[in-house]
Amino acid sequence: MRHFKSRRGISSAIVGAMLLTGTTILGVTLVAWSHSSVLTTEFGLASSASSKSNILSEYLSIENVWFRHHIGVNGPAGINITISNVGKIGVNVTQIQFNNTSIVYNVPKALGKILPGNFTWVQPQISWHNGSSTNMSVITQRGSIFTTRVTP
Amino acid sequence: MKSRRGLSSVVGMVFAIIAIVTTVGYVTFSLNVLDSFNQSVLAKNQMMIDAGKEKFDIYSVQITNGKFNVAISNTGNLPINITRMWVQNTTTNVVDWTNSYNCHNCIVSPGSILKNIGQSMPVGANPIYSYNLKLTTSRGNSMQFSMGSPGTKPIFLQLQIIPNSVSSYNNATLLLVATNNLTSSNLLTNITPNTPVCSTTGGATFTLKSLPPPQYPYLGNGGTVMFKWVYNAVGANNTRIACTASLQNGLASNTASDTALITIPITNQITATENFTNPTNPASTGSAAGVMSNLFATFIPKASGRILISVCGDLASSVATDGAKFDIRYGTGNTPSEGVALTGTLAGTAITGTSATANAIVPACNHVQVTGLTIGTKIWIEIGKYAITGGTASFTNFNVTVVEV
Repeated sequence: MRHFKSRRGISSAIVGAMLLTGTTILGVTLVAWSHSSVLTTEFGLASSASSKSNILSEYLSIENVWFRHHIGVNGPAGINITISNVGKIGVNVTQIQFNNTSIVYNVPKALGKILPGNFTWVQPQISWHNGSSTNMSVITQRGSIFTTRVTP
Repeated sequence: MKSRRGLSSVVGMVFAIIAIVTTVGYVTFSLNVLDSFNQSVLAKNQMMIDAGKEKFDIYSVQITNGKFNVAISNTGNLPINITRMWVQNTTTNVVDWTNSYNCHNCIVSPGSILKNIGQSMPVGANPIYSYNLKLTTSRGNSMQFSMGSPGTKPIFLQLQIIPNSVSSYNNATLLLVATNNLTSSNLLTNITPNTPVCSTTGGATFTLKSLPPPQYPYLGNGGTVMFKWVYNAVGANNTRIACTASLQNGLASNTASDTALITIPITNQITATENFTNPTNPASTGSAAGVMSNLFATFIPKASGRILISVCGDLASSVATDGAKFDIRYGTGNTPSEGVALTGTLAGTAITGTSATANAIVPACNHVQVTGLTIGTKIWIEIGKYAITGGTASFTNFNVTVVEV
């Protein structure tokens, strides 16, 4: 009986140890996975929130649009566009679109960066006609779109 | 067995704590991120609201010392910072250009006026040109307007000659009314009228008597300015005056005209001097042929050139039953002196008075009408005095009245 008793005890200990080990492994795995998942979600959330917040903070003003018959002395027709950053963060203007993307002007990188309170001007060589109004959209690197309607 | 049951609880507790901490941390982080984003939204909203609250109006626009001089009034509730002024030369046939100029320390508080915008900017302004100006603010708002542009579009001009039936030798007032009827963003500056060009018929004259009116610095949309001149009209009845006025920096075709008539009123026009009603008694004469006597009376016909001369006085002769007589003479140029030989143009006939006794006074009047006198030319009026038969004729208490009819 004593011998039998002893063997029963060993079996329970082994089972208990196995259960404990298994539970620990499962628990650690679960915790590691959930921690990783939460971290990923947090990072995504932080990134998304920051991005959206930055987009919200972008505030451009299309200060002046001058339709020129000639750029330079006898150059082609063009449009002088002055964009002012009236927001609180720096903005990188990448594109100017006319007439809902039918004409796209890629802003040179050097001209596209506008610090808060500063302005930039670009001069795309685009032909225009008197009286024909068009939509003009200024697009930033973060994806903000500032649209106005201009008429020569 | 008791010991193993306790270990299991500890392990479970550890996992539970980890799960709770992770959850709480995630929720806290999420709330912080949400709060931060919310702050961004609020900040953007505030910027948009502030931008919408910015309100300012043009107070005045002038060209001073060859530079723009813009004044604005802040009619909103927020301070406004004018960052730049854009200038475009829109004068016809002049090279089109657009430039921007930074405005330093151009901050205007609510309810205040910011003056002299443009005075320190390196851009000149020509009063005869027209410009398109735009002021931009630090919040991205702008105000655009045109100025100095009566030369680009016709504006509403009216000319009135008041009265339009003016009596000869009287003054007439010319009023030129200029109204800025252009669209709301067109402001007129330095409005200077040309002196009206007037023509007349029938040899009439219409002479400017007043100084040129000063230029008007600023005329907003819907505003009206009035310029006034005073002219003197001289001419025959029903002669016509036609005047045309324009603006110095306006379109050549943008003019206003009006006409008026010179009329001769049906009223007597009398010029008189102090010598007329109580001239010095003429000297006595013994000349039967007659001599001139200066009554110091003169007259300038103003309207018709037709006058009635009345000369009355007392006649007497130093010899009983002898008499005295006088006639009326007139002429232009130098007034004949007392006692010279008869001269001038005789009007009517002589009036005679006979003294029943020596030096007996006989009142006598002579009324004559003279026509065809030149308007504006002064005439003298004297009498030719005579002694009848013998003795010395005396002429006293003479009054002279001249009436142009």
